[in-house]
Amino acid sequence: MKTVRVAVVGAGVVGFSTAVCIAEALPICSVTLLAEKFSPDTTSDVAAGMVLAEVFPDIPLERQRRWFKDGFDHLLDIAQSEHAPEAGVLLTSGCQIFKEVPAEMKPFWSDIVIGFRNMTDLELKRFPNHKFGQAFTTLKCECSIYLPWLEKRFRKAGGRVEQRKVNSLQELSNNFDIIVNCTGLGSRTLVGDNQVHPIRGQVFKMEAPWLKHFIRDGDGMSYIYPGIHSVTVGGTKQVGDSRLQLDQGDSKSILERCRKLEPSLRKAKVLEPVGLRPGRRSPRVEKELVELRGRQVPVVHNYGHSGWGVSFAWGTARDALGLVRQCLHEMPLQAKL
Amino acid sequence: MRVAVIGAGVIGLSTAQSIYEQYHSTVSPLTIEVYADQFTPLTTSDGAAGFWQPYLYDKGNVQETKWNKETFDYLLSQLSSPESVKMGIFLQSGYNLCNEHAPEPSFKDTVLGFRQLTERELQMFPGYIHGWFNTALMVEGKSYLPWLMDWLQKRGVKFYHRKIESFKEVAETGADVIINCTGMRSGALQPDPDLKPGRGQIVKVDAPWLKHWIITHDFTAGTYNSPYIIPGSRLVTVGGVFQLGNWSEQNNSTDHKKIWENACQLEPSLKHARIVEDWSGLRPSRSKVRLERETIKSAAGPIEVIHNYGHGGFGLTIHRGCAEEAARLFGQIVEQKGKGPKARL
Repeated sequence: MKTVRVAVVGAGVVGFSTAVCIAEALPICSVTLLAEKFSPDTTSDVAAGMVLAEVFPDIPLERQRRWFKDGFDHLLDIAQSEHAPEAGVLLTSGCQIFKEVPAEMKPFWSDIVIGFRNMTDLELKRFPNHKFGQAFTTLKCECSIYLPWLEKRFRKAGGRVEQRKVNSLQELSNNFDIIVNCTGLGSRTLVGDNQVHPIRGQVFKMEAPWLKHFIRDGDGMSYIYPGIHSVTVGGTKQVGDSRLQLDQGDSKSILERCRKLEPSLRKAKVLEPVGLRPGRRSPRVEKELVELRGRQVPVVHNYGHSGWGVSFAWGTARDALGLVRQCLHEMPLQAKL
Repeated sequence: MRVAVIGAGVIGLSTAQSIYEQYHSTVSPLTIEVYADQFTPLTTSDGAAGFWQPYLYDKGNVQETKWNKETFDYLLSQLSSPESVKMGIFLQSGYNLCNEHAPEPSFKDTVLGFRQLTERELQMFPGYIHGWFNTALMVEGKSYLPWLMDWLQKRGVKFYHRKIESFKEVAETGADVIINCTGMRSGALQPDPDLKPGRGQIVKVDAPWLKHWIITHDFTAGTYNSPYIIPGSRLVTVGGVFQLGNWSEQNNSTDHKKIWENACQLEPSLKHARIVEDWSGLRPSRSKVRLERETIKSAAGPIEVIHNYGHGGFGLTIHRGCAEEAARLFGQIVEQKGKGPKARL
C-alpha cells in the first residue's frame, strides 16, 4: 500500500492536536505539519488555555458535548499523570460569577467538568456586585508548554515539521494527497472564508503565586486564571479588530475590572500580550473535495474555534481524524496501491 | 501594666497583638515585651505548611472548635485587606481523602463550599473511597510572623532575644503578667506530662502546577501519619509523619523516603518536582490546649501567668481564637489589680 501523504497546515493547538491524532492513528499516512508561526508565536500561546465553552449556534449540541468531553478526558489523563508538568496541563478550581442570574444555570458542560455546583451565599459575599455563581474544577492547558510537548509526540509518531507560509492550497497539491486546514484566522485568505474574523483579546500575565483559584465573570469579559508560572488576567473581545499592539485604554479597563474581583492583584507584577482569536459563528469541521491543478484533492477543515481552541482542540481533532479516514476510504483505488 | 510574653511563634505574637488591640486604650501605660530564644524564620510556626484545618474531630473540645472558627472568620475578613499578601493569607481548595467511611468533620460549616467528593473525583485518587472538597485558607508562617512582628514593633512592643529559664526570672524584670506561649518547650518552665512532641517531617518542593491541597486520612495510622500535599505561595509542602514522643529535630532519611514515595503515588506529577529542602519540627501535642490562668506562688509574691500552649498541629488554625481568649483572661487580671478604666477616675 502506497503511503498517503497528509499535510496539516497550522501549528496552533488545533493544528498540532489534529496532526498528532492522524499520525498516531493512521500509520499508512505520512504526516507533515506546515506553518508560518510556531509556539511561542501562535494565537494559542496568548490564550490562558482554560477548558470552558460557550454554545456554538450552528453545531448540534450533542456534537459540541462530545468535542468537549473528548478534550476534557484527554487532558484529565495528562493532568493526572507524571507528564502533567512537561505537558503544561493542570487541574484548576474556581468560580464563574454573574451579575444577574443567567437564563442557562447549568451549561452543557456542567456534568463534564468536575464537582460543578452553585456557589453558597458565604462564597458570594466576596463579590458584592454579583448575585449568582458556579463553582467547579476544570483543566488548564498552557500552550507555550503543551505545543512543544505535542510536537515531540508528533515527531515520535513519525510526523515531520516544516516552517513555511502556505499561501494557497494549490502549492500543496503536488506533494500531498490530503490537506488538513487548521489555519485559524489564516483561513480567511487561504480558503477565502469571509465568515472568519479576528476577535481581539488583550491580557496581562501577572506574577501572583498566592492565587490558586480562577475567577471568571459570566459575561466572559473579566477573568483571572492562575497558571503554572503566572496568572492570566483579562480581557477584551473586540470583534473585527486585528490590532496586535497593546491598547492603554484596554489595559486600564482590565486592571480596574479584575482588581475589583481580586483586590490582591494590586500587589502583582505585570507583562502584557495580545492575541487575535479566530472568530467564526461556529468552528468549521468538515471535508470537501477541492479542484487543484486538475485533481480533486480532499481537504479537511478544522478551524474557526473563536476563543475556545484549547477546549475543543482534541475533540475536533478526533472528528478531523474521522474525516481523514473517510477520505482514505474514498480515494481512488489506484492511488492506494 | 507590664506584660511579658514568652515565645515568638504564632501563638506568642498573636496573643501580644490581641492584648494590645483590646487594652491599649484603656490600660495606660501598657508595656508589652516579647522574650524568645527563636524568632521567625526559625520557629515551629515557620516550618508548618500554613494550612488552616483542624483535626477532623474535636473529641468534645467544643472550645477548640469555637476558637478554630473564630480564627477562620478572622483570616477570611483579612483577605480583602491590602495587607493580605504580606500577611501570607490566601484561599486554596482541595481534597480530604479517607480510606474508610467517616463522619463529617467538625469544620464543615466553617470552611467554604464544603461538599462530598463526586465519584469522578474519587476515581482520581485510587485507594480512597470517601472524602470531601472545600475551600480553606492558607496563612503562611514565614510571611505572617514577620508581618505580626512589624505590626507589634510599630506599636511599641519590644522584643528580647533571650532564653527564659523560669517564670521567676521574668517576674523579676517587673512584669505584672506573664503569657506563656512557649509551645514545645513549656515543660522546661513548668513540667507538664500531658505535653509531648508530635514530630513531623516535611519535604519542600518546587511544583507550581499544583493548585490544590490533598490531605489523606488513615484512621489506623493516625492524624498526619499519612500523605499530604499542600501547595504554598512559593513551594509545595509534602508530608506527613506524626511521631509522638520523638524529640529529634534532625531530618531522617527513612522518613523522607516514606513521605516521598507515598506522595508520588498520590500525585504522580511530583516525580518531576525539584526537591528544595527537608525540615523537621515538633508539634506541641497535648490532649487539649492549655489556655488558662495560674497564679504561681513565689518568694517575691504571686506571679500571674496565662498559659497558652499545646496547640499540636493546629497552631496557625486556632491562633486568633486563643489569642482573643488569652486577652480576655488578661482583662480579668486587669480588673482584679484595679488597673482598669474605673481605676483612672
